Amino acid sequence: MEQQAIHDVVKKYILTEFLPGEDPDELTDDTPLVTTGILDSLATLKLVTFLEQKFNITVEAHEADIENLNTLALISRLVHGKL
Amino acid sequence: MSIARTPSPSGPSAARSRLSAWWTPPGTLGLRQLARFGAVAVQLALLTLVVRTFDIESSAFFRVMTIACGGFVLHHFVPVRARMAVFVFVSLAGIAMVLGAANAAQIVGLGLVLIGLAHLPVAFGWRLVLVLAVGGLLAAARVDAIHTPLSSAIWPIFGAMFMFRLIVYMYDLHNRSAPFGPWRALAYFFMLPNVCFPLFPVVDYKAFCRTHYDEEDIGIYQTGIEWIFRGILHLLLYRWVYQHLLVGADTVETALGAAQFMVTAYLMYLKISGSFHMIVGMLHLFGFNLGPTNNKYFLSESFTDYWRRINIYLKDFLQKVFFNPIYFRLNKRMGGTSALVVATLVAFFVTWALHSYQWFWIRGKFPVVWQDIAFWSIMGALVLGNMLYENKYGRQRSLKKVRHSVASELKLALRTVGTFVVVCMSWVVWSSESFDEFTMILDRLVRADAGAVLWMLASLAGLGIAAVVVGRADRRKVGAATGLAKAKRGPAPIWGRAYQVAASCVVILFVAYAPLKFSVDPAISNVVDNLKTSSLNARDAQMLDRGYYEDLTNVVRFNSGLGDLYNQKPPNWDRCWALHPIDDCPDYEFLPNKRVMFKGAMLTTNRWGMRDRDCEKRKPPGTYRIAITGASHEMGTGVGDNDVFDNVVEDRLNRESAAGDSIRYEILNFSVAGYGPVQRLVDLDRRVFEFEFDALMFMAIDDFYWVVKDLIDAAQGGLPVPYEHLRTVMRDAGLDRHTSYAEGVKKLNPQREELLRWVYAEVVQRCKDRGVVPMAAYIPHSKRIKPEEHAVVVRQMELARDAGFVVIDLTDAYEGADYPGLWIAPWDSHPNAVAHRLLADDLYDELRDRM
Repeated sequence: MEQQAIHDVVKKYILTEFLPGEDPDELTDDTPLVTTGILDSLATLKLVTFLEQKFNITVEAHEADIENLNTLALISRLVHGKL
Repeated sequence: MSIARTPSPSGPSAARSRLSAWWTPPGTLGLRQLARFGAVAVQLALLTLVVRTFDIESSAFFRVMTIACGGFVLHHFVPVRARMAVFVFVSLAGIAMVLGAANAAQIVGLGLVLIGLAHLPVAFGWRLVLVLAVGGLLAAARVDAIHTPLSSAIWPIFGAMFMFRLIVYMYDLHNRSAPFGPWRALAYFFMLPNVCFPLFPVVDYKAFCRTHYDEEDIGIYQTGIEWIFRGILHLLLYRWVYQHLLVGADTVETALGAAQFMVTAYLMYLKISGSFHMIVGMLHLFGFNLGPTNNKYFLSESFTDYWRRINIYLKDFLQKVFFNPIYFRLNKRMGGTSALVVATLVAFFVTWALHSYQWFWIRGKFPVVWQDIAFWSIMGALVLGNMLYENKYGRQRSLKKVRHSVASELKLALRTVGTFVVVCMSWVVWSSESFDEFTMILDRLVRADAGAVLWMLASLAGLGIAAVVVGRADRRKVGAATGLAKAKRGPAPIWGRAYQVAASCVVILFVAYAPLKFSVDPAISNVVDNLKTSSLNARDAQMLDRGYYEDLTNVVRFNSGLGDLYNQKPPNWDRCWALHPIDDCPDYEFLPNKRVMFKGAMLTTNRWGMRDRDCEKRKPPGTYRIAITGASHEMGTGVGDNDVFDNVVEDRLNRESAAGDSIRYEILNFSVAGYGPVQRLVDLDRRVFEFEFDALMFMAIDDFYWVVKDLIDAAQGGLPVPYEHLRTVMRDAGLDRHTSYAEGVKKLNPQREELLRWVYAEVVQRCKDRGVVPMAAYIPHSKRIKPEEHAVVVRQMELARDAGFVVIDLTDAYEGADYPGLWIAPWDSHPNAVAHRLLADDLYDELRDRM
């Protein structure tokens, strides 16, 4: 799967699950998600569960951190790297 | 919510690439960059002056600040490749300067062993086993289970450097999820501020590497400056609360007093948050662009929010090493909700264990106290409940500033107030000496009258308003942070921020020094002067004076001013090997013929179990003999045998009588540390009156306090009090083994004059029956006392006089002296040899006038 396609799927999930009613254009590739509290610890776990189920990948515990999940770009890169 | 920085790609080349984008070689530095750097340097100098003026943390911290100043300048102008190494050398220099070369060598040597083991070219499992084995040996050395040449002074700092960071380091090593190298490892474990702080934030290794110069350097430095300043403000506020507002449970009489006890117990955390701000701020000066350690935790709107704000580094550590691995493993097997419950409960169990593990390295004991267990259980349950609720119903998030309605702001205010109240109550559990004391505080709280209720509601309303106002400001910041992500980041604007910090420092310094130059209201001047010292508050000074805090672990758990002093106290300082337990009241006494070091001085007991020279029970012919009974001050705690005041007086009387009188003088000292008036009465009956003497000197500082404490101790220990009258008093007051000190004080304080009058009458009668002159001598406190405390001293002298004692007032013996200069150690206010000489001179004059 292309990284852009991954990006679109993830973006849609984050908007639906955590930012209902928000303008999609506000959520860019570089919008910080962890550092701004959009993805807190619970949301991170939910996101990881979604990624594993949706893309049939395994995300290790040590990978569920700010370096891999703070932006859409980073999340897409993580998933793409595991496919 | 936290406002940290967006991470950039990690790795050494990435870091150099980032840094090279901002670093200009020295030869090409522009004026603008130099000016910006200069602005930071000036602020740092002002902050160092504030630290010095207000004696922030300790003299060791001031030395570290000066090292940081020099290191900061040097470090900024070296090439990027050398900056980590420079930081390492500055850090090692700091350790050597603060702890001394020998201790520094031990810490660094042990650290290198552990780091080396972590990197051995063997399977990770074996490395882990070796690290654990060496860690076990070090733990055994910590409690002196094995003898090593290691200094006991290194453990708190060595523990602070390795106890948590080694766990994180090994975790990242195992997962190969961060860059490793010798300079990074040395910088991570021996980082400069750690040498001053046994309690240190759990800096994550990956974050430590990732955030190193991940943005423009001057911007990172300026953030660090602001955090150091914020930390200083926290510590000054803490000091003011500690000195003026903190109360003990035994003084809580009203609902407002109970509320004050609860809130001030919580406010003591400012000591931690202030220290942590300064620590991470200092790391910023060396390019480590770490996130905040706490975030306005008083304004938490839920228990999960509180958990995310109060100690962010600890929370991240627990989540990374324990919570996530457990959740990820269990999620697939038992589902998300069950995994969440188990992972959360385990995380809070680990939190409790790690707190005790931390105290093990600091104090050499692994405390298992019900207060810790109860506190973390309550917190765990509250956070878990909140998490399950958020898991099901979610919480509001937004990418931009959102207009909130009055209703939503009101809900935020109510949630904040509710969270604050519950957290305060949890802190009361943590800081209560016993469950009865906790219920006593609650009982006072619920008996609030209308006035108290109004005060409390108004205060909570203020908190709610602050939550709304600050919440709006935070939401604007989040919007800005997300906005910045869209715009290209340039050099951070610092001038406005620099002016604010610099101007604030100048104002603070002006306030500190103004009383020296200008006429200032004494009340204001006293507040400012008290803020300039880390002195004990009145209560802790009193408790230190009375030797009340014997369980150091209980003290230092709250980092009170007394706890800070006790952290310097050598292990076993209070252990006296010449004392042994007995089955009686009092339940300990001196062993005969012992010669031991106690609190830095030789203590010798004679064949009768007295801390005194040898003597016969019958007095020699031609001798005038005085028997003294007292407690630790009169016993000469921490003072050499011949320097105790009674021996000084005896020697002088005999030296001067040899020139004139034919009479000889003997002063027998029966004093034992911790003996109050009841116990001294028992001792009189048990052994003192077996000796022949002409006069008895019943000595004390504050018998009102001790007569109550004697009975509480007897009740708690189930000791056999040999006097029916006192047993009746104890029975009528309902004292038993489970009575807390605070409760006991409440019950007995109204009767303390009667109790003391009874004891004095008993002593005088016994003296009269034996033809002995009864004298009562009062010696000074080891600190300056307030007028109301002096009134108590005067009152006990009146009672003594009424009972028939010849009263000798020695309370001015230390007049004009610098009190801390009269102590045997900064953490122990017992009088030293100089003080004993002052006491002896005063007593000599009194005795000469009367004999």
